[in-house]
Amino acid sequence: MVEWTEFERTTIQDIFSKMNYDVVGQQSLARCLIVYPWTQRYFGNFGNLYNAAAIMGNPMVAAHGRVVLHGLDKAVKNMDNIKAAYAELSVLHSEKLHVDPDNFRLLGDCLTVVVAAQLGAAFTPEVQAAFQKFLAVVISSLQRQYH
Amino acid sequence: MSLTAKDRDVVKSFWGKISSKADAIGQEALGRMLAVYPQTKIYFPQWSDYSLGSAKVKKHGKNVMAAITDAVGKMDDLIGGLSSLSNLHAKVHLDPVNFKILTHNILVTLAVNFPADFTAEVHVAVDKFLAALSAALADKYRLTHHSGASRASANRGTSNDKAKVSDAINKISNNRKGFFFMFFSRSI
Repeated sequence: MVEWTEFERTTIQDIFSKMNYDVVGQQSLARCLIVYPWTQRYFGNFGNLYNAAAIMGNPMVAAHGRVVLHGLDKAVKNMDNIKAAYAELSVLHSEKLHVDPDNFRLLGDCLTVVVAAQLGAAFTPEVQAAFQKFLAVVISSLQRQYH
Repeated sequence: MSLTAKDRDVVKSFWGKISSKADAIGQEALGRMLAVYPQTKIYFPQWSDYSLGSAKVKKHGKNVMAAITDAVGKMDDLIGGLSSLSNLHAKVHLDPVNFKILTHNILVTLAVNFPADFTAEVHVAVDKFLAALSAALADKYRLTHHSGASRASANRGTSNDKAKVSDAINKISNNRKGFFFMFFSRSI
């Protein structure tokens, strides 16, 4: 059972309530595919991923980025039991999608960079700590059903 | 993952844009690291204040960033250029996993302060550069294969060592023109 401070809860709710899911979703997934190109292995049917410009302009990347971000909503709404809330998603990523769990961390790092760029100075070290703790819990929950 | 000519150009060009703020970036990156990854504090046990604004964080952050800026000019030979810094980090037993952690916090700091310039292309080039830098910083680790050995007793013969031995043998063979010494020097 993860313990959250008031500050952490407020920070997470605040960040996600103000977030532009379309922009942040697209930016984060695109950055992940550009900075860590081996993650492209899961998107063989996404068409043109040949260079950064193509990835940034790819509509399937944008659409899927939005899907992934909305997946985080589940965790934002169930902060006291993310593990249970993510059981099905974990099975999906392990059994059906066969995603290397290290990729969750890579996408998480890209999401952190994008949110940092959006929030600027408001993304203080304390806010960053809360955000990364949240992502760590999500990632751990996503990995639980791998065997 | 080697640095292409394009990677080097992108890094140099971006560093030109940020160099006037280098001190502040170093301070912020270090402050973020200590706040978000508190286990990194173990390397600074004498400090009393790990906050972003503290004098120690400011000074050390500046030093780290200065060394990184210096490395931008040494991208053609990071291993050679960072040799003594690598020895230093090995001597203080800094777990190399922390290079990745500081790298991440440098990237976050760059995103916060230069959101328009820190594009995805710059991000990948800088990440590659910092990864290569980290590998160079870890290069002098595990040179000896038993604990407690000093840096000087490295049991790996360097080309420098071989040259010294060869020189010494040559000097002996020049003074004593005996067949035995000349034969011995040629076998090096």
